[in-house]
Amino acid sequence: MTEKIRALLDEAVAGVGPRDPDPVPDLLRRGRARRRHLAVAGAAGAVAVAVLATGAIVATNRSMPDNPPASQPSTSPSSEVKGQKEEPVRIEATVAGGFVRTGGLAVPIPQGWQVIQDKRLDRCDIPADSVLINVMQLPGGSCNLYPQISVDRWGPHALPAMVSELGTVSEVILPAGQPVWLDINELGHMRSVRKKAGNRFTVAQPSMPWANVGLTVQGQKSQIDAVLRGISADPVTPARLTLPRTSAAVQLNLGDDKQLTSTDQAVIEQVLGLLSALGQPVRTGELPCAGAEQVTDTWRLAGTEMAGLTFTDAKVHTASATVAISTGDSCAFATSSLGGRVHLPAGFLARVEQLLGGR
Amino acid sequence: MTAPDGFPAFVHGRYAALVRHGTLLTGDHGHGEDLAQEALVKTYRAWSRLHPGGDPDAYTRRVMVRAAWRAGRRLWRREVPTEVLPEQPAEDPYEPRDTARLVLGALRALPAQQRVVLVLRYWAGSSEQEIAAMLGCSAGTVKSRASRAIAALRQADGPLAEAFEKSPI
Repeated sequence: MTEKIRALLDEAVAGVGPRDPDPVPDLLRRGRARRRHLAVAGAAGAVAVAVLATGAIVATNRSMPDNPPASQPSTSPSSEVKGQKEEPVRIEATVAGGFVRTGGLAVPIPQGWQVIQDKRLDRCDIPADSVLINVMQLPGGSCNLYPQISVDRWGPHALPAMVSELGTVSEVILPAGQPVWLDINELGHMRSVRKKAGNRFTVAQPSMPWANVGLTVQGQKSQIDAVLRGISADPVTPARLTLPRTSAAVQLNLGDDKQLTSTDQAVIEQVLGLLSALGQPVRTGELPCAGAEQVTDTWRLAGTEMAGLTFTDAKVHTASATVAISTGDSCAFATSSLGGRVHLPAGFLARVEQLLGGR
Repeated sequence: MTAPDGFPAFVHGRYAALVRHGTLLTGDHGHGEDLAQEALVKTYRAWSRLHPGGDPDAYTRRVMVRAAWRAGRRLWRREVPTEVLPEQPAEDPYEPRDTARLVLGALRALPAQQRVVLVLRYWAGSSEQEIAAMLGCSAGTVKSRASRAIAALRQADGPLAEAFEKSPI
């Protein structure tokens, strides 16, 4: 069937050709105009100077994943990408005592639900009331959504994309002190579900960076509330930020498509040094901001409108860690995907922006 | 106006394919060519990093995909899948019902993010994990977009609906 679909899509564009027979002159003009615009646009002007001076610091309106290394998988048609294997990124999980446990996270298994692990299943063949672990769901089918929990791999590359595509990130703290990140759509969705009466079918997708887990919980509102209420984590000792020792690049995603990136090792070391020097961990159970909003029966917001600061592994050119940072100066804190939460001094984010050439 | 070394050759060699990719991602020839050009402007700006050691084609396609995905972000989430596609203009019985027009019409009727996932999954041959990594979303999001797209196409008329309907997935 896949071949048939591909053939139809190929046929749909078989007769499509460029209307502009030679786009190069126009592309050059637009590219250069964009550079001039950046060069004269306030803070971006300083960035342009930095680019000319060092060739190493760039400020772009694109996110880091738009700068793929040569090894980045192509998105060209399958005929051009032979040999790709469709293997899920596995998580190591155990099932015991009514919980799925992975990376210090415990997700409750609702009474009477079955656990399915390590399988490839047509989406419509997955029974209702299932907890899926390492299950490859094959697309297709015209079945309805059923109550289901899916435990998926989460990676630090997700935060910069989340911030750049959807705006800032929000953070909830579990009772044991571990953070849960919600993108702006997720937060808006949780707010709307909470406000609406009734037991409507819905979906929640929180991310647990410290466990490398992204959850998808779908079901009636009451079922989702019960699952989220039952999520627990191994207690965490308040600590400074855990950070990578080195990085090939650092990128600050501020939302609204604003990114600052540096590959200058001196700049990266200064940014890591600033983060390492933060010495006031947030205490377990402490919500830095007073009057924190309740987003579910049991989850309260620790912070909203957080920026993402992401470090890239030098060897494999993928994100190795990401730090969520409050964008406001009141009750500001930062959380690392590798662990640790700390209070921030006033002006901290501005200092990072300055280092990256943004101010 | 002097172009950087290798850039004109890259554009001339890949432009037609990029326009076709853009047409599928948007469901429209004109928008697809605009999408390709916008991405190529960014490729031009990044050319010193992409040439000769990088993969400018993959970079350009990635920029296109992310821009097409972003176009749908405002309507991104939590919608319950509709049983029928939005109302379409009445068909002209005398207009040729060629496959290309019907397929592009069906793609256009999909929400942007469902269309992007469908094209990446079935045309580009990317796995759900690769798509999730590319778009910065969870595999669950990719799955739900794909399944909703297929469910919507099955409710419509035309060759894509038949292809999805006739074969088990």
